[in-house]
Amino acid sequence: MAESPAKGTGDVGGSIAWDDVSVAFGSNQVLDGVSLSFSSGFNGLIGPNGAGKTTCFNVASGFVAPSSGQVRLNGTDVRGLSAVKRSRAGLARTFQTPRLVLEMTVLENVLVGTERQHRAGHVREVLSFPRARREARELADMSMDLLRRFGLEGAAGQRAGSLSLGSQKLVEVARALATQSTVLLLDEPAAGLSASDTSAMVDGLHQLVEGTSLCVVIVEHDLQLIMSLCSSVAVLDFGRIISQGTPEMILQDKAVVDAYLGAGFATGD
Amino acid sequence: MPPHDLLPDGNRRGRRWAKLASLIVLITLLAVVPPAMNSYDQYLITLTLVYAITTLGLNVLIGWTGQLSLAHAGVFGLGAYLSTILIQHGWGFVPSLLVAGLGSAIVGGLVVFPALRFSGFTLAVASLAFASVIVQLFDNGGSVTGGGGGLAVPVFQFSGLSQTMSTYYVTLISTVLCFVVAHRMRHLRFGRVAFSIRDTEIAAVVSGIRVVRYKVFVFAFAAFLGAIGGALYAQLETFIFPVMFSTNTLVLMLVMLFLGGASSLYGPIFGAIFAVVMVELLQSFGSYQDLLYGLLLMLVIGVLPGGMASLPERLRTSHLLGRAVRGVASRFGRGRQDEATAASPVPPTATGSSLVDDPGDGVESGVA
Repeated sequence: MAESPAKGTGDVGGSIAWDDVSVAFGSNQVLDGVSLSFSSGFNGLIGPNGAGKTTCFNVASGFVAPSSGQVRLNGTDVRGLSAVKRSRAGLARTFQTPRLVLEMTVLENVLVGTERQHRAGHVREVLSFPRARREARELADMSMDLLRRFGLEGAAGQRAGSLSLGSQKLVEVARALATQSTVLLLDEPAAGLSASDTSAMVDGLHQLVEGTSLCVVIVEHDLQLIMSLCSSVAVLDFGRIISQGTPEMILQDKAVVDAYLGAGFATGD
Repeated sequence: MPPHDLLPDGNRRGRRWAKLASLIVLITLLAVVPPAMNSYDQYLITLTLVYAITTLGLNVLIGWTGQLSLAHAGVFGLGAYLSTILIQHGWGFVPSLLVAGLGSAIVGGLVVFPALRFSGFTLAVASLAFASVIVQLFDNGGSVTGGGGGLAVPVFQFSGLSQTMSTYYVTLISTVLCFVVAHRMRHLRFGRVAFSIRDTEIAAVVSGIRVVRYKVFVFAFAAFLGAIGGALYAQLETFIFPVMFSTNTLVLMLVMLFLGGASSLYGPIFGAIFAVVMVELLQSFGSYQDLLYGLLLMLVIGVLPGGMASLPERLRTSHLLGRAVRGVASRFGRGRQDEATAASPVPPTATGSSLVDDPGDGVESGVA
């Protein structure tokens, strides 16, 4: 039986840090000297639309090159590493819109995330060597376990395209977890999800992350989710970090209330 | 191990054996029936198999991996010429077939370099130019390639069999081997990765898939299959010249691919059967042959946009015929999967992605 993702990531402490990162698209300064760091457990990155949250993720995963600054993954500077190499160094992510192969089954989509764990080569797999068969079975078991945690085991054989958006998002999170990475970036995982899908995702993530060193960073507009799940939260506004701390500290920060939460949120109206 | 066998409710073993038994019966028929046919029908059935192998290569490239590379007629010709030249220099047919395949795989793999920079139509044009260069080399290769006049192919022959039947059996064995390997690849890790690269390359990248390595392999493997097809085609035609590998041949390959069903494993077989059989059937219509062929193509593509291989799925999902087909299918066990789907706790939607507006994540646009 293959290790569960949680167990697989438990031995190595996950951490990610942005050090004085700036990004400009033409004259538009999207990130302006962003410095923040997150370690094991659930972390939140919030802010109004256009604040630069997704750009932070894109810089970390190697899709956008910063004009200055660096990103450290598990303490190592990943400047100059391609997106694939960053992924193989332990960084996984999801997207605002789920990126699945709709033609493939749910299980096949999750299995895509197990690419790094294959030890038997393609030739051995095609020739059906016992080791390759055993490995395939173990990785499938691990993937099924992930789907089970998100309440999707019954859909494993269905085409991903036949699922609701919420379920597709859960499949994408499961695929990211299947990579057994040490750092997981979730970009608006609850956007468009029903209450039951959100609950399934939160429960699944709790089960998989608790007791491990996996570092999860969540960009999300569902503040209730962020405040209940995360131990550390950072707030971005116009490309700058305006606050970072515990959820309680964030809620009481006047700059955050003014820029993002609004007076109504603070007073509970 | 195909993914459906990895599912815990592995109740599909019986169906798998039934498929295997059907395949064995089909191969046995293909082995014993053609000797009783006339030589022209033997030629046609061999041509169908040659086209199926060749189109399979194009399918791996375009249908599975989404690389719009149009150099396939060129590598098809390269296989034909390499094999023929090697045989002329005293090589046996089978070694020449393998070396032609491997040599073309190396050359075809070169097309990956534009593919790393370009995609879509730009890649199509770059690869088309590459194929054009290959054909020009055939045309201007002097005594080595025979120039525009072409080369006579020394034809391989088993003792006790005609030339056509010898070529047929080698082609049949090659077809079975190519499709068995492709079937395994399609349903294993390679197939999953290829589809990911085709549909969502970004997700493949963040899953740690070495996309460049896979693309190099895909281009080389597609060229290998195309060249095997080309070498067998040379044996079948017994004479080759550059025009046989021109853009017209590429168009035929594309027709077979999309008519049969791009991305489907067996689409190339259906496409090849259509291309060969329809041309034969329509010959009796004289000057209207091309017109009717075009209309038929439009009709099939219009009715079956997913190609002929999508017909069973189309029947299952159509309102009128679906009920009848599902009824028959359930009697033979196929209905179980549908029942499992219906019992799933996950509510299916029509589009699966239209419930909320796409906010965009800025990866392609670079804007957050």
